[in-house]
Amino acid sequence: MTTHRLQGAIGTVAAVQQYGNGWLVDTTCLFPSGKVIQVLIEGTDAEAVVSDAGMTLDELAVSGIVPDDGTAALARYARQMGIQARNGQIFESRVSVEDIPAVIRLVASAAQEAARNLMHNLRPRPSRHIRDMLEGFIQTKYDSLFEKAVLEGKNKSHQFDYVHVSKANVIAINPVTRDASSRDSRIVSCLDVKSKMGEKFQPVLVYDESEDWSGDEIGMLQLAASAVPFGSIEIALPDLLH
Amino acid sequence: MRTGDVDQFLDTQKTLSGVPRWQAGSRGNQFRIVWPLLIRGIAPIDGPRLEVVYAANAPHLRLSVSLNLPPVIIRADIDPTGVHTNKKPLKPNIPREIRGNNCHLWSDNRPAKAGSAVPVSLGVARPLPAEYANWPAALHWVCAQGHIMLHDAAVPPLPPRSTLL
Repeated sequence: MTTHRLQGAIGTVAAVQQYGNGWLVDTTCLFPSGKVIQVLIEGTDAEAVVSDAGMTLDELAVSGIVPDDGTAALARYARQMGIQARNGQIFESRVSVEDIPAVIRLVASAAQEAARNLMHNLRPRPSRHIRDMLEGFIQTKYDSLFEKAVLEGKNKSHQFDYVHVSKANVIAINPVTRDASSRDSRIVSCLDVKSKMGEKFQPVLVYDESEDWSGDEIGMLQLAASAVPFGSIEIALPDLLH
Repeated sequence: MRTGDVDQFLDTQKTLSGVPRWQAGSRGNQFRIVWPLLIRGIAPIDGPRLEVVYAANAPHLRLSVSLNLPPVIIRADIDPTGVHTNKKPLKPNIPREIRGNNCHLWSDNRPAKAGSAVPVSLGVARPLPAEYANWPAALHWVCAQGHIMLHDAAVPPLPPRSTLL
């Protein structure tokens, strides 16, 4: 390899193409999908505007993510790079031609950070609902064994979706989601009934393992109940019933 | 959401529910269509939908059509100036870099291991055949890939392009 050959090969890293009245420049940053982040340069040598041309919010939109206030969602990431967000775009204005390379990096980095974080934080809910999945499973396999019931706890009564009472024990199954208030409420219910009924009470919390549960969160469930991923319920339930 | 759920969903015949309308997106000059899917006559809450995102401020046609469960499992991107980089390991016939229109197929992005979680982003793309790089051909292409029945009469024209640039 020679310097000349290398320069030729990497010359396309910052390829420039005409885009309306401005120029679209490739950067070395990527959106999570693998799309190369490009910046738009408009204006004059003395006062150029460097922006993401709204492509960060477009990238989120094509992933099904539409923030309520797009500009506000971008502003934090623009500020971190010392630039601005307005009208749904990350940009910097009054850029001299000498400063354009540095500002390209700042705009592209802000766009990359914003897309990565917003995609993670605003990710749409999966369409698989644990309550529906569990209901389908129980109805198909164990419908006659379980019924909805209210069990008395030490402090108050609690409703469980699927309860099976035998001489040996009381098995109570509830679905649980990652939503903190729902999860905590399920844990409290199990603990409260357990404190009244003792070891005879065997609560089971069924969660959707595709929801990115952390080990800590599952550990919290296990403080109160047997935590069973939905994918294992078919194996776990026969064991609990015998 | 697991790969098996997506496979099963794709195998099921689906139709589109209601009349699609362009609505404002998350920034000026961004327009969207969200078109719920009917599966066995039901459109579930937060269920699968066809989505279109159109950037009306671009100097050329720039739009994406996707099938969103969520997450998005198939997408066609019409963007003649866009660039996509595929990461290693590269599958056969998948180029390292694509300049211009591209598409993201479930078959290219499906994790090989059975029962794996569905990826949040469709990282693997291939060039979109030229005959589908227009509206509404891209919509027809996504519908065909996703086994969605589409009635031509229901497809609305693109909103007027902005002259802000």
